Amino acid sequence: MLTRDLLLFRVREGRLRPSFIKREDPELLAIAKELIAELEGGNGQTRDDLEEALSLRAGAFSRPRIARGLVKLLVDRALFDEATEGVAETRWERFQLAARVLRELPPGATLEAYEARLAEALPAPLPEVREALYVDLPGHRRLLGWEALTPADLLDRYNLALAQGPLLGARRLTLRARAPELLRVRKLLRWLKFCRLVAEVRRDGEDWALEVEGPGALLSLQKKYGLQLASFLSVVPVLERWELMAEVEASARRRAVLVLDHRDPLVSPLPAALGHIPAEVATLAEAFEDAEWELDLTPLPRHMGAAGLCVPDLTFRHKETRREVALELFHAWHAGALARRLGELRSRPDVGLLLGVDRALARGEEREALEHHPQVVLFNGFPSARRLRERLARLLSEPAPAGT
Amino acid sequence: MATELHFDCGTLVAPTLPDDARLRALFQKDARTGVYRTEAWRYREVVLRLRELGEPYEDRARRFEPLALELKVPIEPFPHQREALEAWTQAKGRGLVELPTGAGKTLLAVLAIAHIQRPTLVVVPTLDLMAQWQMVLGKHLGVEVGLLGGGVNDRQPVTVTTYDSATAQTEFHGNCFGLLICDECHHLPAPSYRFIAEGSLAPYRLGLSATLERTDGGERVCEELLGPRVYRAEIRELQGRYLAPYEVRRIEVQLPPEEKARYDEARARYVGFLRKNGISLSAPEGWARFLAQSQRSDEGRAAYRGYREQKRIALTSSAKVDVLWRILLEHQGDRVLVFTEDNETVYALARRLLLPVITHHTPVPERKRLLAAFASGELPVLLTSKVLNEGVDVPDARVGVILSGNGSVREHVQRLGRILRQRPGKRAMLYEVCSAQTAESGISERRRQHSAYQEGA
Repeated sequence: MLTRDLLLFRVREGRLRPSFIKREDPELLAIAKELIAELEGGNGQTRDDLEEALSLRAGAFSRPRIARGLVKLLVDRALFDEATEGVAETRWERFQLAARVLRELPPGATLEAYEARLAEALPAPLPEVREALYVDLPGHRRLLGWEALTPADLLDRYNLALAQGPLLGARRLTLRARAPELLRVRKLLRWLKFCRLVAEVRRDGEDWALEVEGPGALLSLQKKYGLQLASFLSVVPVLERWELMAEVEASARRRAVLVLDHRDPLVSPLPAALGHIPAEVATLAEAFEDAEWELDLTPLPRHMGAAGLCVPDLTFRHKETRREVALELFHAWHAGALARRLGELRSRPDVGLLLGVDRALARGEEREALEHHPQVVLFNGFPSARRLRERLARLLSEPAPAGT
Repeated sequence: MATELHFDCGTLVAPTLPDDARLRALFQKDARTGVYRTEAWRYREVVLRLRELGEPYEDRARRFEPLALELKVPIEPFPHQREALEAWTQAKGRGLVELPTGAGKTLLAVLAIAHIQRPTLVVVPTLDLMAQWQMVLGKHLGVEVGLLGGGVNDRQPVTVTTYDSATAQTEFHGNCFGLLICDECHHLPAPSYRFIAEGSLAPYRLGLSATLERTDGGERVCEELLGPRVYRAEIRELQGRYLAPYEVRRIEVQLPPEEKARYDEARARYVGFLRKNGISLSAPEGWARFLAQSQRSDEGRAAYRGYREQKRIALTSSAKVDVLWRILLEHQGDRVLVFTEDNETVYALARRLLLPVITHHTPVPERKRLLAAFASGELPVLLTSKVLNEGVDVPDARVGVILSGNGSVREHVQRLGRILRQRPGKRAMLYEVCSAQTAESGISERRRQHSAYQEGA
C-alpha cells in the first residue's frame, strides 16, 4: 500500500480519479527497472543505506512522487535479516562496564576523563565500540532478498495501490458487475468473506450489484474497514466488466467519490485460477432440463445464521410456482463447513436451502441425525437427479415459506 | 425459540429477537444479512433486558466464564485507592478513575480484577507499559499473563496489549474478556482507538488516566464507552504523601561560538534553499517537496545536509552534552532518566556516553532487562526518547533530565510523573535543558504552562 503522501489523484466535480500511470511508459519502465536493479544488487546492504540509495534515485527522477511510490512498494517486499546474535549481550556488557567506570569517577571529573577511562577498560577501541553498539537497529539490518517483480508488474502494483489508497478512508463501496461469469463471481464472493466484509447482493438481469461494507458499518462504530475494502479491491479486476464507486476522503475536510471501472489499468495480483464448474454439476443441469424445473447455476449468495455466507452450487426454480430451492454440496473434506452450516440453520432456519451431503460425512453419531434432517440429501459421490427430484417434490407439497 | 446472541467482528448479532420495543431499540435490522445487529459494547444492556423480560436466550457471543482469581501477594491499598475501588464497584464495575502518575493506578486495577473475577484485557499505550503490567499482574494474581503486541501473540485469560494491537485485534477477541481496562484512557477517544471499547462485549470496564481532559472534549467518549468518572484525585492533593515532593530546574545552554557559527551556516543554507524554491514546510506537501527538490542538484543536497546538521547541533550540542555530564556527576548515586525528542538524538548520546537506551526499537526482553537493572541500580542512567513518557513504573528514578522535547504540556507532566514515585526522604529533581538562540527555547516556554510545573518551579 502507499502512504497518503504518495497518493496521486485528481478531484473534479466531486469525483476522485487516481492518476494512473501507463504500464508501457518507457520512462517509468526504465526507472522501475533501475530501482529493481538497485534492490537486486543490494543484498547484504543495510536498510538505511538501501533506502537512501533508492530515495536518491527516486528524487532524481522527473516524476519523483511516482518513483517514491515505486520505492515504497519495493521496500515493502524486501526481506531483511533478524537482529545479529550476540549484539545485545555485548551491548549489555558494555553498559555494565560503563556504569562501573561512571560510578568510580572522582567528583568533578570531565567528560574527557570518563572517555579516557572507558578506552582503557574496554577490550576494543572506543570508536569501534561506539560503532558496533546498536548495529542491530532496524535501519542496520541487511537485505536478504525480496519478493521478485518484473518492472511491468511493479507498475501494475503501483496502479492498484493508487486505487487502494483512497479506499482506506472509505466505509463502503458499490460494485456493479456486468454479465459476469459464475466462477468469477464466486471468486469475488470468497474473497469478500476472506476480507471479513458483508454485502447486499442484487441481481439485475445478467448484472450483479454489490453494496460492500464491514459488518458494523450500519452502526455508529468508528471502525472504517478501509483496509479490508482496499484488500477487497485486489479481486475486483477478476471481473471482466465492472464499475466501482466509494465515498472517500480527498483531504481532511473534503469528501469525494472514488470512481473506477474495468477500463482503468488495474490488474489483480491474485492467482489467475478461477476454479471450475464440476462436470457432475453440468450433467445434473442437463438432467433437469424439462418442463417442471429450471436450474440456475449462478445463484445469489445466502446469509446464514449470525454471520455466515453461503454461495449455493445451484438453485432449482419450479416453473409453475416460481418457488426456488438452493442446493449446497458438502463433500467428504467439508466436515467442518457442514457442522458450521447445520449450526447456522439451527439458529436461523432457511427452508429454501437443501444440503447435499456425501455419505462419507454421515458416520458415527451424526449418521442418524443427518439421515432424518429435513434439509439434507445424502449422496455417494454426487447426488442423483432422481433423489433430488423426490426431495424437491416433497418440498413442493409443503407450504411455501414466507417470502418465496 | 430462544434468542441467540452472537459476536461478529466487533458487533453483537441476534438472528431473531422477542417482540420488545426496548430491546429492539438497542439493535438495528441489518438488511444486508437479515439479522439484528448492534455494537458489541451494548452486550451488557441487551443481556440485562433479556433477563428482565424473562426471555430464554442462548449466549453464543460470550467466550469467557468467571475466573477464580485471588491475590497471591496481598495489597494494602492507600486510602485513595480504596476509595476509588469502592466508587467503581458501586458504579457496578464501570467507570473512570483519574489519579496522578505514581498514585498506584496499576495496583488499583489489580484490586479491580481480583474483585470482578473475569478474564481481563488491559490496554496500554506502549510496549514498556505492556511488559510492566504483565510483571505486576503476574506477581499479584499468580497467573500467567498473556501479551499481544511487540511481536508477541500470546492470549491468556488475563492479557495485556497495546492500543495499536487492540485496534487490529478487537474484531477477533472482543468477546473473550469480561473486564476491559484502558490504561491512560485519554487515548481511547482517538477515532482509530475507539473501536477497542465499542467492539468489545466486556460488561465490566475501567478507565485509568492521570489527565482525562482532552482539548477536543473526548473525555465524553470515555464516559460513554467505559462509564462515568467515579473518582478523581489531583496531583497536589497527593504530593508529599503518596508522591515525592519535587523541584524543577531550567538550564539554558549557550551554544559555543564555533558550534553557533556552524549552526547559523547550516541553517542559512537550508532556509535559503527553501526560500529560493518557494517551499513552505508548513504546507501539507512542503516536506515531501523539500526532499524531492533537494535530491536534484548539488545545492539541494547541500541544503539537505544543512537541515540535518542544524538539527543535530540544536539537539546534541556539545554544550548540552556537557550540561548532561555535569548533572550525571552531580547525581552519581541517583537513578537518572534522560528524555530526548527523537531516536536519532538518543542513539547519538548512547554511543557518545555508552549509556543504555529504550526506544520503540528495543525488543521486549531487552527493555525488561534494562528496566530491572535500572531499578536495582546496576545501570543507574537510562536514556529514552518518547517511550517512557506514560505510566512506566520507574519508582527508583529521582532525577529526570529533559534534553529536548516538544511543546506538549501533557508529555511534560507525564515525564515529571516518572520521577515522582514516593520513597522515604525522596525529593525529585527535573532538569530541563534547552539551547538558547535556537528554535527550541520557544517550545520550552509552552510546555511549562501547567499547574504541576508552576507549583514545583
